[in-house]
Amino acid sequence: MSKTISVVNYGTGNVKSVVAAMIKLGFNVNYTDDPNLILSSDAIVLPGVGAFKYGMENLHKKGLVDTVKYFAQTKRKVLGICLGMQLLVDEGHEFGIHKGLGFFDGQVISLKNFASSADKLSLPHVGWNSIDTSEKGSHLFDANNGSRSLYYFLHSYALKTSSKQDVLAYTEYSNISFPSIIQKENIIGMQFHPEKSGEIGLNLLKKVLLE
Amino acid sequence: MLTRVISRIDVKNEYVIKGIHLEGLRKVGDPKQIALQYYQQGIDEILLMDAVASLYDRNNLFHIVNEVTNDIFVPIAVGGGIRTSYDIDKALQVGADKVAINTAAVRNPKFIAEASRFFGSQCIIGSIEAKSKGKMWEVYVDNGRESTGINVVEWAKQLEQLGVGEILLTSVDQEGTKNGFAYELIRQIEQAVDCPIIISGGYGRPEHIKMLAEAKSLSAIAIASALHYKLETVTQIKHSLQLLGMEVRI
Repeated sequence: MSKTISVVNYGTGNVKSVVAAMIKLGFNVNYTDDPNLILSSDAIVLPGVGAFKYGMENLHKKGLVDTVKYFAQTKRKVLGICLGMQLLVDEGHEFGIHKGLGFFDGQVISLKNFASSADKLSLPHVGWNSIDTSEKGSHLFDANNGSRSLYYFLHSYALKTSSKQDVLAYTEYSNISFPSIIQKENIIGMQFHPEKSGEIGLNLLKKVLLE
Repeated sequence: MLTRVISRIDVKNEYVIKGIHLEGLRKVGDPKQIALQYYQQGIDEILLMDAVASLYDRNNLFHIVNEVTNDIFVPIAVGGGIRTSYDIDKALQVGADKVAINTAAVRNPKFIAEASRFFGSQCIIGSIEAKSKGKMWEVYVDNGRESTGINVVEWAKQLEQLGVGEILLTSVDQEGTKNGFAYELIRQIEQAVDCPIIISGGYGRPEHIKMLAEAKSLSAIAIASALHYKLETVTQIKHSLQLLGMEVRI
């Protein structure tokens, strides 16, 4: 019997591949903004491309903030991808300071602000890059699914946090390093696009959602 | 960053086609099957171009993108006949990550600025078709059919200023020939802009890319004929690039 996944529709576009990946992996998939449907799922995915401010505004407008928070409390899996990962955090600093969902400590800031030497960084960070898994993250990877494999990134902002225990993997871009996978209990975030990272990405999605 | 190997798939109605100098189109096969084959061989991105956008109903390409994105999980760019924000929105809805815009940008440069602001520069590729004219290169539009009198290097700079995330540079002279790239053109564009350049037109064998590697950091290469006519597989091309000392995704 396959799990039901709700991909949360909060109007951030470009979600087709996320939905297609879920279908490909054999899940029953809803792409929905209906709180009842979301709350009755086995797991939810928060996708997203775009700015933190608009992401949170849209979630609020659709009345989904409480739904997502409640769902997380029930200990069922919540996966945030790209902007979706960023919204899981305390605060975002894109176009002003905005409150996020608050599951993780830290702020989402421009990659240029990660270090004083980073101001010349070419943005967005776009293309294939590798991830460096800490021991905490090793459960996500196995012989078939390399932890040093390449994933597809497309973003200009990332999480700056001092809570190292939440970080499962880091990625280096030029002279800076940022979290590429974060996890706290049932809530997990990926800064890259697993649904655009080939079979390796699909394998990771499968592992995470079936855990 | 690694050098991306991109497959360029030109489509006319339901068929992948290939020409030389963007003319003399020959049917090669089914777009989805061909894209799937390259995906399975490890292609980094797929570029789907509508070869006859101005003559036929361009919805045809969105239908193909929609199907392709059901089974192919790497970035997809689509170009040919992208003229309005509605077109861009539709492309993204059916699963494309980026759109390549040529003719519409030349006719109305403001369109690029607006699109880049609204959708994000990472979604917008400025597509240039360059044909040599004496010592310079001229911008062509409408899939190599119409000359514009515009200088390619100047236009590339302008596209960057307008906010494109990348430039797709196609050499009309070299494309389809498998005789190598337009090296001097590429050199001049690389000096003129900072944004990533996807080099298209002329690939025949790995040595052709080696000759480019002496230039700045090589962002991406779009390959059509060599793959469509099965001269090499994606795996073979990447392996050769590695042997030549380049960093690619294997």
